[in-house]
Amino acid sequence: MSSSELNLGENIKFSTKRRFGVITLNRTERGNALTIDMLKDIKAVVEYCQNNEKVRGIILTGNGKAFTTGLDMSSVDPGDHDTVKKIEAIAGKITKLLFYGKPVITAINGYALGDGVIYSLASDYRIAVKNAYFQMPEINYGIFPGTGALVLASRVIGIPWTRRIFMFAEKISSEKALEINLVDQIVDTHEDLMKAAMDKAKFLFPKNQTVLNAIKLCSNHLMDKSYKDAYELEKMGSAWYEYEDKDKYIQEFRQKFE
Amino acid sequence: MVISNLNFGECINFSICKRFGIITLNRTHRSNSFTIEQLNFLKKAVEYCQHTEKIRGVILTANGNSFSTGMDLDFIDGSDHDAVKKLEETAAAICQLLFYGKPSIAAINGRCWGEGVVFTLCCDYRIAVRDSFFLMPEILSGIFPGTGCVILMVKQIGISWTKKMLMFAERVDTNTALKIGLIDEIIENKEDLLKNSLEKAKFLFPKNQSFLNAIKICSNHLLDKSYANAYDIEKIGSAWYSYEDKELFLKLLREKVG
Repeated sequence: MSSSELNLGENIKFSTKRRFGVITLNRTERGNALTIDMLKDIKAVVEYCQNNEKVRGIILTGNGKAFTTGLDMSSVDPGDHDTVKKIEAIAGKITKLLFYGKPVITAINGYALGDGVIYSLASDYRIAVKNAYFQMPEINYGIFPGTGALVLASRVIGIPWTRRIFMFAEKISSEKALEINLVDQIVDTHEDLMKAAMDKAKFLFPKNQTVLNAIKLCSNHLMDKSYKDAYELEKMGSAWYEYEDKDKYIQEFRQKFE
Repeated sequence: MVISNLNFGECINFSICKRFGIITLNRTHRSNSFTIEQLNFLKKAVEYCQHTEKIRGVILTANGNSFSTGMDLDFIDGSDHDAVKKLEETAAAICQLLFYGKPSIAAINGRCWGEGVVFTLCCDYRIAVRDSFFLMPEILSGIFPGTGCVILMVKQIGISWTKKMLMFAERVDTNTALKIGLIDEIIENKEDLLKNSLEKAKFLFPKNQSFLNAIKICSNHLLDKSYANAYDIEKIGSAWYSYEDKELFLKLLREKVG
């Protein structure tokens, strides 16, 4: 399956390697800033990966010097609340698919603003080139950074760093991002980036996918549960082998965290 | 003090010092991996500490070069699902006793895998010798690491490190373990391990035990509550002196946190 078969626009590229769907943001002339059409394409291709049995995970990356600079503000009229809501709904859906769905590796090829930070927060393994940086500039424009950003940030990087990034728009270097758990690994070059991402995909794809997806769900969703409630959910993870239809089992397990 | 009339099997040594029960794993010829029988004895030893008034806490350690390498898979038939479930229940019960019960100190003398990591996560202070390392190898064998493991991990080392350890089986050295909150102290010489653990016991045992246990319960269980609900639980903690029966007070508090 490639970009053309999925009928994607030219700004989103797609291919499959090591049973991972590789989604590449490709609007380099605008720092991979996201338009509504691009968001729709990302949602479509992420859904394709989730629903395709052959695909076991996603690698999300970008071409050029930026991973993404977030939503292209010139493509949206902030006064058009209906459109803004629609965009937020699509972006929110993408975040949720990444956070609930099959394993996701994010290969951050440069600066990551807005949605770029959110994709990093939603992913299971994040590799960044050393000159990448992260920023949530929304507060400067009076925009509330919704779409799951604060839910994810407060859980993944903790309350103090969430405040510094979202309230004070602090620019975060890749080294700092590594320290605060916004990324998991730093590499020197773009070649190293894709190699490291493929190595992780290579580690994951031969594993028991039911167990792997169950671990992902529990890792992402048990933090806000009491010990007793969380343990009941873990027991469902431990008993994965009792379910004959593994896809149905994972679907049911996901619903437990809705 | 060695308790001669207590029998926890050959693979668990037990003594009392500074009013702490010292439980020493002693199956060195198999790197302190757990058999079903040994886990049953471990549970019995932890229960004994919880129910004996003169004991104020637990030190969990091991002989040899490994703290524990987890379950001894040679002694467990993975296809015997009932036996596996029983085993998981025993391990989970040990976790709950340590995590909800009296203060516990883990003195990690070497390699720490699987259930060894999980028991470490249950303890209130974790000291490791420099060349120890931590690993969750379950994904390599397609096993879901249940028994409370994911709950304990996400709340203590965060979502990102939980996924690195559980989905990617990343090996964690003591420096990293200290940085991410998996341990609290590194010591250079193994001879100092018990000495330093006993110093912590010495700090804790003369303190007001109702107060100490209430702090432990709140520290371990308030993260998943709303501010308002958590504050109501804290208020029970603050009012410890108004309960005549301190055991009943702690029981109530343990029930409240869920």
